[in-house]
Amino acid sequence: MKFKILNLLLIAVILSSCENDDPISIPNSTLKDIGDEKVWVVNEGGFQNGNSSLSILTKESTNIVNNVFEQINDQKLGDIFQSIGFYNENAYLVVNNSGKIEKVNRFTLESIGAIEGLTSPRYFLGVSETKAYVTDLFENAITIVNTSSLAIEGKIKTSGWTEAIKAFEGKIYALQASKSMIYTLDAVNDVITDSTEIGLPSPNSLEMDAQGNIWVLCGGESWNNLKGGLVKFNNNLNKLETYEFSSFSSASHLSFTNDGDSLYFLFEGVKKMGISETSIPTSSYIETPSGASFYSLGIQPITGIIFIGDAVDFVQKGKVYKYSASGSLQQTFDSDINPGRFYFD
Amino acid sequence: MVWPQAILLSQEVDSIIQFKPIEIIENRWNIFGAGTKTQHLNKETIYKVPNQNLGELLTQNSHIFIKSYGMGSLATTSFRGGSASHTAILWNGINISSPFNALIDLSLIPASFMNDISIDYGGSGGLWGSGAVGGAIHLKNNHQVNQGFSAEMATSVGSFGQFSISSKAQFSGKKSSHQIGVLHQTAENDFQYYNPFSKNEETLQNAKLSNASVFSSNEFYLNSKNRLTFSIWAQTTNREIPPTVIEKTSKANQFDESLKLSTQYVRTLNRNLKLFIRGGYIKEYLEFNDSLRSIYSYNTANKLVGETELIYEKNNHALNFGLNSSYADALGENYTARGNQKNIAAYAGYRFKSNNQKLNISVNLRQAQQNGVGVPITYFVGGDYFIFNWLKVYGNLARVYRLPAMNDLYWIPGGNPNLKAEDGLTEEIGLSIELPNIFNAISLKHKSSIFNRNMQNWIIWTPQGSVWSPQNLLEVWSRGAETSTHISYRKNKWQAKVGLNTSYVLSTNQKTNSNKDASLGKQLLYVPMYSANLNAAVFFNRIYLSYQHQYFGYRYTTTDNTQYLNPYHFSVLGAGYSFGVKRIKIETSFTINNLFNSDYQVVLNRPMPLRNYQIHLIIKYRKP
Repeated sequence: MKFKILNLLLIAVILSSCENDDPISIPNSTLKDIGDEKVWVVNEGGFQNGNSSLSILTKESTNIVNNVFEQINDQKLGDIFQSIGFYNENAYLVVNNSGKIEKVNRFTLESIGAIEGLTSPRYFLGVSETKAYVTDLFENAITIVNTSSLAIEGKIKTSGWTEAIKAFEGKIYALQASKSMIYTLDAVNDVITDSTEIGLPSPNSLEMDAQGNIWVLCGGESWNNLKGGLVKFNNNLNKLETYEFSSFSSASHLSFTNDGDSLYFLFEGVKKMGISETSIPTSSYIETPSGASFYSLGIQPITGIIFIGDAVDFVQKGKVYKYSASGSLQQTFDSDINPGRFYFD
Repeated sequence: MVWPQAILLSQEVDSIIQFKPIEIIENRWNIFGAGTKTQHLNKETIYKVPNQNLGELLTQNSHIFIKSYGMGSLATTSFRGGSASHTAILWNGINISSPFNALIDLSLIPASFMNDISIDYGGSGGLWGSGAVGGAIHLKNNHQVNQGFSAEMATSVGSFGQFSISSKAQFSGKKSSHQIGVLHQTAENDFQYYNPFSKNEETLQNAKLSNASVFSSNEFYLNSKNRLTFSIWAQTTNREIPPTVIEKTSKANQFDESLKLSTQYVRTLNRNLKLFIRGGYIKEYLEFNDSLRSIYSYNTANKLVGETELIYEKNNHALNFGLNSSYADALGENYTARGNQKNIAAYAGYRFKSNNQKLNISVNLRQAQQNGVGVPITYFVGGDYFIFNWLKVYGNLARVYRLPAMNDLYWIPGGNPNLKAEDGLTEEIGLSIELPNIFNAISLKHKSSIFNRNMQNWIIWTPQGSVWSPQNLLEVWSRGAETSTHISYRKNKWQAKVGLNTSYVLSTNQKTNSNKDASLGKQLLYVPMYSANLNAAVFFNRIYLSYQHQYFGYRYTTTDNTQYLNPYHFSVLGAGYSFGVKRIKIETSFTINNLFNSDYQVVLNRPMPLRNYQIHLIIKYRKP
């Protein structure tokens, strides 16, 4: 009797609890909404998972299309999509752990080819019709690439890992993260013409404000008990101000609105600071909602709309939040994994 | 014998040297683990394919999902939906999990160094302490008196430059027993695979492996009341780490070196009382180089274990009491001087066995402490009951825990010294049928289990700003069912065996920080919901033919279950012939792995080989 009861129990439990293990299918997004004016969302994916992807929000930003690169080109993008560089009618998708840069048409998103054989590329800056610079995590050099032949043409030696690279008013600036330096480069002779110590650890982003000053955001190194902060230079790289953070939290994604009057960045939420303010605001412009992991920030230049990427637990599809310029949440989108950066067309 | 042993394939039927455990109580499990499902792998199974590693052996013969990163690469366990650190692995009673990360690379354990491997399914933290959450694996060097001298040499040659050679010798007399073994392995692992990213056939690069291992176990029968055992196991492994299918190249390599010592002294104090004193020492050195990523890391860990136990047995009752203490430290660039752990545990057990031997009940308690901080008291309550002599029901209830490892606490950057132990509750019931002799030819054994486990404070590493750091975040609910069925038939010179293991495991995340987190209620990463393996063999005289089939269902690679690896089938066909010349016996066999050319991945983007071949030769010598 006991045998029967147990057997029945066993069968009942197995039958009732068995679930179909077929994975959840995601409806395919359509590409027809993508126009010329769009928001590019860089989904990094997970390290060695090869699941990075490009998402596109339309201009009015009411719809998101995920996995655009693969849908258009029938080819996976690669491992860890880091950033995008734009030059004329082309976009250059920097795929970090695949060691390559995919060149696509900026409007059709069709693949034109790839620059391969890079070590660990981070950011791309086009400096002429055929020449671009690529910063690198694991190489003590900025790589010179030919954007027409897609070949590597040379290296500019650096003293360590290089991060963001930007051009302001015809001058090229790059951040050297491991020793915390800011470089200026001569794009004709491919040499570093100046290097200045930043003074705070782990610089990761830089922007120029309305007065022509350059702001560098430093992430800090909590594991070494070093705080990050903001450092302001004039365009000759003379240091004007240093604002150290009051805690060891990390900071990233320095962004400006189109007018160049206020800077925004991620640091315990979204901080907004006027360029003439003399201290880092203690309260957040946008608080991190409970359970969210703010992972990226971008300000749409014309509208001032604030886009924030939420990585959730870093191992699932992320979220993109669209906030009005005044900081109220307007819409939430489901992106792909680890939305890490926004670009605007 | 209370537990039916799993029927397992044997290469030859005629000359099985029956292995009998020595009469001494060799661990507390035999007495105090009533109500648990145990699977016993005997020598015939362990040695069937010579020079296999433990990961390969368990994939083919158990319910444990082995997460293998590729041929010869890292292999970890997922036991009943648990994490890799939820399996306690003990060698001669000493927990040998790495002090660094509380897990073990099963690809580095030469199965052939052990002559007895048993697997305890389910939580047994009350008996084995930290990590015995999904189950426990006991690796043993058992000894017997008066077996004379025997020696063997085994070699395997296979596709992709696989080569291994091992020698073992054992001698036992009245006063002592000795075992010694050496193993050397090399492999190129330069197999071809289809790369879904490049859409090309590619050859795996940077995947070479070279390993040398040595062990010796010695038991001394000092007199009728005192027995001393001493074992040593040392090995060095140099592995290249191949690129994933996404990466063009890899220049990474890993060097592992380890030394393990275990000793046990048993004193029979009187007819009912025995004293056990055990000691263990583990040294691990791990070097990882990746010139492409500028990583050069060198870390060393030491672990020292001491244990004293008293076991009292009289009539229907048995009692035990023991103290276990361990000290571990880690040195290296990723640890500060604070990187050490001091663990103490006190445990006690009681077992009752009815006069008619039908009922067997045990209760165990264990109180552990890490670096002076108490862990919730753990227990194990289990029992089994023979309804008929062929049918037994069993069940248990256990509280389990897993202490944070050195990396969790002290890794720089990110280590979190404030972590609590993971802890949980497990329950299981099952039945076991054993019909050894149907029509004088057939033997049938069957076990079914259903289990449930709720874990809290489950540790995961998540980014805290730019640094990954471990937190006591998840609550995980694991439940499922397992069946194992073994039928064998024997008539004259013919023998046939079929074994089928099936598993159904749901292991879901029950807690998230926000309602936007889609991982709530979803299956954990890399836990297949369905898996099964089938072993079949036919023997005629000195020839055998065997077939093995494994199935693993979807394994998710994102916590929202939107990305996954496809289910796969994996088959092995084997054939063998053996013959003897006087005291020498020669066994030859041939295996075809991945018979049906299945294109599969166990771990995302880590390629696995298509059909490949191995030839094995074993030469045995025995002088009684």
